[in-house]
This record gives sequence, C-alpha cells and structure tokens, in this order.
Amino acid sequence: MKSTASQFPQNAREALADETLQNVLENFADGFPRKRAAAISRLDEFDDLRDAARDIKNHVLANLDTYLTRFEERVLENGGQVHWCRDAAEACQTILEICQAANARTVTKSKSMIGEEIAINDFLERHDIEPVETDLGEYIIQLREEPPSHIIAPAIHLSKEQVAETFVEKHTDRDPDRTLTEPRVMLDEARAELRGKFLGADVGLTGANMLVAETGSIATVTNEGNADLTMGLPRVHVALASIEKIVPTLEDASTILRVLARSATGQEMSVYTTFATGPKRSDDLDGPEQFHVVLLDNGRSELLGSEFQDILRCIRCGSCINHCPVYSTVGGHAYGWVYPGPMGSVLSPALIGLEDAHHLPNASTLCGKCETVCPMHIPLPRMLRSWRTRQVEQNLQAATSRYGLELWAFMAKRPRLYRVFSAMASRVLRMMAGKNARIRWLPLGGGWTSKRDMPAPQGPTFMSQWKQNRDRYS
Amino acid sequence: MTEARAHILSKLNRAIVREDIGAGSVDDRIATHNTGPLPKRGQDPDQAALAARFVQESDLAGSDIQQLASRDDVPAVVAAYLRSKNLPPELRVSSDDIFGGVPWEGEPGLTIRDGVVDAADGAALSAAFAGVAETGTLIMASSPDNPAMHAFVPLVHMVILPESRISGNYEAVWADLRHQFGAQVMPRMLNMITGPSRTADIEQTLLMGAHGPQSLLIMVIGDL
Amino acid sequence: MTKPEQRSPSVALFVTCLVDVMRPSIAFAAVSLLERAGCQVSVPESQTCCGQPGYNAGHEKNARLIAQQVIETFEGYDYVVAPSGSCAGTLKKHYPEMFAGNAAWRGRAEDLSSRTWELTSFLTDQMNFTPSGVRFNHTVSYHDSCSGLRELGVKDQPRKLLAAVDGTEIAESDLAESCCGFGGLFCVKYPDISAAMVDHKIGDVMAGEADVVLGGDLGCLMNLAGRLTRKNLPTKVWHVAEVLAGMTDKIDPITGPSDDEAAK
Repeated sequence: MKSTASQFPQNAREALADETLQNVLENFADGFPRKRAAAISRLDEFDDLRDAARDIKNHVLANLDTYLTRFEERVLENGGQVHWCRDAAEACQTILEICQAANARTVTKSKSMIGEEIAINDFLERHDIEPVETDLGEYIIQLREEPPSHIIAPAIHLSKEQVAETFVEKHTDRDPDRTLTEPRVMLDEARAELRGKFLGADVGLTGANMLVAETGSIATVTNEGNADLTMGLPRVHVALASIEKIVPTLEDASTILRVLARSATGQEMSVYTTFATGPKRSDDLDGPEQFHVVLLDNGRSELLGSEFQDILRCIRCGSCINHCPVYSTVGGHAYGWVYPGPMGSVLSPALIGLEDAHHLPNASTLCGKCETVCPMHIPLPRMLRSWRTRQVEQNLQAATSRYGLELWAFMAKRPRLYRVFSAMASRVLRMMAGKNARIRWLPLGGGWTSKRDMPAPQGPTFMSQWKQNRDRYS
Repeated sequence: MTEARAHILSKLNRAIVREDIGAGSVDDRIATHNTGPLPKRGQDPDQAALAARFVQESDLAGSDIQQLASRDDVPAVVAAYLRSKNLPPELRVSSDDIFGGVPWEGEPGLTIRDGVVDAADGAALSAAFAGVAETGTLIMASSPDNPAMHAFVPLVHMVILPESRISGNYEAVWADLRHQFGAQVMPRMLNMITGPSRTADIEQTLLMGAHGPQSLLIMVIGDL
Repeated sequence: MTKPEQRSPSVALFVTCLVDVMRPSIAFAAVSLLERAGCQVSVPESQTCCGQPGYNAGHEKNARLIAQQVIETFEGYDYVVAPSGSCAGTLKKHYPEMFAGNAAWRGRAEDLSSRTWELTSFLTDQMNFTPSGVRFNHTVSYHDSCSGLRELGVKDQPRKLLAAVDGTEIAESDLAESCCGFGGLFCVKYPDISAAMVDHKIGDVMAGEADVVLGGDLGCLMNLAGRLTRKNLPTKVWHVAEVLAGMTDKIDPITGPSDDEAAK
C-alpha cells in the first residue's frame, strides 16, 4: 500500500473530525485493555512467561541463520518448498509464479500483515488473479478498498452501519432492500458469500504466527477458522512469513502462545492454533497437494544487530496498540501505513524509510504504557527515541525544533547565562498575561496556545526568590 | 532464489551478535526441547481433577461439554444435540478406531456417513488426540482416519475425547506426540481448538460461527 | 563520629527548569516538606535543566553534556530530590543509559541514580513522613504522571500522603493512569491530538465528584490547567506538594485566580 505517513498530522486532524470514528474509538479504548487485565489476573505465571518468551526470541535472533536453515531442512523433508525473498518485489513475484504454475484464478487469503506489507493483493489483481480476504474484518475492508486500521482488528474503525452499507453495495446478488442492522445477520451473510470462495479457490495464502524449526511447521492463530479453511481446501497452500517468526520447538511455541492471546484479545487461547506440516500425505482425504513457505527478509536483516533489533521479537499481538493513548485518539489510518501504533512507529521507519515515516517516532508522548503491556518486553519508547536520534544525525528534524533545542542546550550548559535568561523569560511571560494570570497567545508557542492557555509564571524565578528569602510562603 | 537465500543468510551471519555457540546450541535446544514456565493451573493431582478442570475451562471458552460414562451414550447425545441445533439427523463421522464401538443402531433415525466432510454437511464428528486442562483446549491430529476439515467446514463440530487423554498442559501432549509419531515428526495438521469459531470484527460484538463451527460439542468419555 | 542515620540526611533539591520559571511555590513547598521530614536541604546554584527535552528529541550529545553537569553539581549529597517524576526519572533511569559506553561516567551516573528520588516517594518510602495539621477541603482526582508511574513506581505514595490531609477526599478517575497528552514537545508538535487526549482526561474528571486535580509533575498540570481554563471549566489544579505543605491558601492554583479575584 502507498504510504501516507508523511501526512500524519493532517491524517490525524481528519480522524479527530470524524465523528463515527471517534465513537468507535471510545468503545475500543475500553474493550481490549479490560479483557487483557482479566485474563492476566487468572494466570499467576504471566510475568515469568513474558520473561521466558523474550528469552526465546533473543536466543533465536542470536542464531537466526542456523534456525532458518534447520527449519528449511524440515520443510523439505516433509515434502514442502521454501522460497527465500529479499524484498516485497521478490515475494510478490514468487507467489505469482506459484499461482500461475497452478493455473490459479482465485486465491483465498487469511489475514497476513506481511501480505499487507508487500501489497500482494494489488499485485495479484494486476495479474488477473482474484485475491479474496477471508478474515471477516479483512473481507469488509477489502470490499471497501481500505487498508486495515489495526493489526488484529482490521475493521475496528468502522461502525456496523458502515459495514451494512458496504454489504448492500457489494453483495449485488442480494435484495438491496433487505434489513441489515444486526451484526449477526451481517456475519451470516459474509459467511455465506465466502463459503463458495473457500471451496472454489485454487490457492490458499496464509501468514504464519510462528515457524517451528524443530518440525518444519508453520503455525497460524485465528478465532474464525478462516486460516484453516484457507490452507485446507485449495490445491496449493502458500504460507508467507518474515524471517524472524522462527521458534525452536513446540515447547517454545507453547510459551509464546500463553502470552499471545491474553495480550491480544484477552482470551486464554485464540480459538484455533494450527501447526501445518507439509502437503497432503499419501492416504489423506484432505489437504493441499503443494506446501510452500515464502520466507521474507524485507529489511529485517538490517535491524539485526542494530539498536532496533528488539522489535524483531514482536509477535503482533497488538497489545501496544490497544493500550496506546495516541492510537485510541486518532485510530490506525492516521499512521499512514500497514503497522499503526507503537510497534508500527518503530517498525515502519525501518521498512519505508525514516524520511517518509519521520512523524511516526515523534507521534508519541513516550508515556511508556506500551512497554508495560508488551508480552515480549520490547523497549518501544527507547526505540522511538532512537529513531529521533537518527533523525537528528541525518538532519531530518524540523529547523525550528532543532535550533530551539540547540539554543536550550547552549543555555542549560551555562548556569549563569541560564539564570539571566530564565529571569527574563519569567518577566516577559508575566507581562503577557492578563489579570487572570493566563496567556492566551504566545508567539512561537502557537502549538501550545492554539489549544490551551499558558498559566503565567507565578512571580520571579525560584532561584532568585530563594536567594532573597528562603522562607517564602511558610 | 538461491541467490536470495545466500544473500539473506550472509547478511544475517554478519549482523548477528552471537551470544550462544551457534549450530551446536541450536541442535541441542531442538533435541532437548526444554519447557518454559508451566502454569500451576493444569498441574492437578489426578485424572479426575484434570477432567474437571478441562470441563470448566472448555465451558469458559464457549464449548458445549458432556461427560459420558461410555461410548454407548454417544448416539443419543449426538441426536439430541443435532435436534437442539435444528439440524437434520445426519452426521459425517471420521473413521477413527474409537468410533468402532459406538452403537449407532441405538439411534436408527441418525444417518452416519464416512469419508471426508463436504459443504453440504451440517455436522461432523471426529476424535481428539488429546485435551489440555489448562485452557480447555482440544488437540486434533489429522490423519486419513481423522481429516482436519471435519473441525472447520460444518456448522456443528462434535468431538470424542477419552478422559484418559486429558493432560494438564500442552507440553505433556507434545511429549506424547513425540512418543507416538517420533522425534521431530508431526501430523500434517495439528489443530489446537479452544471453543467454537468466533469473530468480534463488527464493532467488537462477539459472535460465534464466523467461518468455522458455530457450536462445538465435546464428549468426554469416562470408560473406553 | 556520627553514624549516618543519626544526623539528618543532606538533600539537594533538583528544582526543575519548569518549576523554577513557572511556579516557584512548588519548590518552596518541596523544601518545606523535606525540612519537616528532617532533612538538611540545599539548592545547588549551578543547576539548570535535566536535559530531558533534548534527550527525548534525539539530541543525545547535548543531553549527555547537560547530564555530566548535573552529575557534577549533585555529587556529595546523600539524596537528590525533584518535585517531578519525569525529571527524577531522567536522572535515575536515563542518565545511566546515556553513558552505556563510557565506564567512568556510567559509574558516576549510577551513583547519582541510586541517590535520586521523586519527592512524594522520597517522603514516604525513604523518610516515612506523614504530614500533620494540614487541611484542604476538596474532593481531588489524582493524575499519575507517566514517567513517575512507569519509570519510578510512584502510585500509592502521593495518595498515602494525601490521606493524612484533613478534609481531602480522593475520587479516583478510571483514567488516572492515562497520559494527559503533554509529552514535552509532543503537545506543541501535535496540538490537535494532545488536546483530544487531555479532553479525555478532563471529561472523566468532570464526570466524577472531584473539584480539584492534583499531580506531581508541573508539565502535565500546566497542560490540564491550560485546557481547563481555555474551556472555562471550574476544576482547579494544584501540585501535590503545595497541598501537602499547606500552602494553598496563600497562592492561586495553577488554573489561576478565579474570575472574581482577577477582577479585583
């Protein structure tokens, strides 16, 4: 998808003015965090599991090349194929070739953020292959030709009325005057529409939550069961995964599963966790004839060994997004690319470039909530700050803030000069205030005073008062 | 492709800050497959307690669950369940050995079909490999006798689970799996199922039966 | 020889740049509370700012230079106390990170870190202090500032101190731990988002019983106060130290004088 990350402030303003979205977000901000807290309160070992999950991924990242080759060996032994792709273009081309070799016209898809990242749907459409999203949320936004606004709840930005409108408009074989007010009825309609697609698809394209090196299995986690129908019914199964998705063993997968759903939706477990290992076996009654794993790098290897390596532990649970006060104010589309919220603001600059994504690391108050709820202990605020440091190093920061901060640092390093300057600032600000001790408009401080008053300084600076009278106010 | 493979692996090799000792530690870790922290929930003293916990957790996950004394009770329970879901008395049953001893003749109105499930089937019955008490999770291992799609295509999925196959945690099942299938060998599809299919994608309204089954009936059989 | 526990501990007040210029009463309140708790308080003269604005904006080199100055200025005191969770958090958590690659300065940064406290947690956790004879007849909503809460674990300490204030009721807000949208430069770079965030908090406070918002970080409090007065809302805002020091009848709240008083 085309990034609009560089227009973040404008995107955000539009989001703030969108009443429907604001209503939906209000509901959102309450739901997931409450469910997560309830699930965690039932599991005393949650923090131990988080530590263990972090350690698993750190160990994998420290041996990623070896693990990938072990995984590959197992896939090949099981009769599957592995395709290594450096970037989005290679991955799209590889998937296209698999589809073309299978004479595919329709591809069912279960939700894959990597699929969004490489924009596979557009690519397949351009080559006359119809991709059909099967996750209900993804299906809705595919009909609306919108990108997802959340990594686990792609249609979270929509009201049920908007969903109903979309169905009436796009499901043209149905009575246009039908009543479509209840989510249940909408779901049943989508289920019926997609049933035929599942059964008729030539290729099933899934993501993978984990790749198990021990067994050469790909693991998917869903609540709908759509990934299983996607991989189980067509003749060809393609699993698209980025290289950091490796876990060593089934035991390691179990540890991660114990923190994944609880962090994501507040479930103990998602409904369906599936380990798929190779194609249909000799006497199997069902299953695909071909099993392909597309292993995608797309910038990950650049992060390894850098100050951003920790983001490669991310398991895409969405917890940081669910708890982010900025996300819950502007929603996911404002961020302008595939991954919103804190994890997105760390990952996107690496994938689409810091210049394009320059707002994202700054669009955070560094409140730190994300790190406290991350099941993998990813230091998200620290990495947002590291991107800001890179911006300074690469001269990508706006001139006003750069000079302002340089001037500030110049003063702060010279206490005597600083005293003179702060006393002056105090005096000027007091002069600008009205009788009610509020400043309504501040030159160069429009960012503040456009939305709030600036309380005027109470009097001369503390340092000057302190010298004269230690006992003031007592 | 081989060029991309070599390129990615060499980039990784250069970027990695190696703290462990490379290939040896990787193979050791895979071979020893140590467990992480195991929740106390699921570490129950005996099989009856595990079964009770499995029942409780399955219920929380939205599964329907019945504890039956023996296979003899299965036909009546199945027939009643289909009626309660307004489904015709027809059932696709996988050919697992466990169904050999089920006296279907006790419900003459019930049509039993073998083979793999298709779009016309409203309900399917299959056998679980194991149950996990910790979260009320079924472990289904696909095979010619237990096609994976039985758990996903129909509106109603029913499962037989011998009480003796209930374990405390997932790790116990993996140990059993290695014992039965061999080290590093997996059934083609291994499905962990915790409740019926659901979605909350429309305004966070929780609805069952998104693409998979709307109802999941687990029959825990005491005596086999 | 006096054992350390027998003499009063020497405390250097880290005033913070915002308190110095905008609201000196907070620093006076902090000194008063620390003295009542039995400390020997100094205010080192060469202090300026902790360097956080630059550090958070990616100006690491400048932040390190400022940090070195702070480390030198505050050497030799038993404790360093700031009436701010975010400035204390910078000294305590971020200075050691800044010198990760420099063993000598890392050691000095860690030494400062081990002596640094946020005011309310120092008073309770270290000095076991309880205010007495203080009255504040208000129902208050306490805002847990992000850095204090998540970097330093400041949560119960201010509430424990406020429990000893006569006439004060705490009405907890569901959003007590939610960010107010200040975020340093965030609030001037993204004023629309920041305002929407502070409105969430204000809305929640207004829906409850509280007529006063208290907190321990002036940045957040100025944000809350500035938005409240801009919207002509009656809720008042104070720094918790001002309340604990019994200073509130001598000074206007951060929201300024009431319109009646301003007219006088």
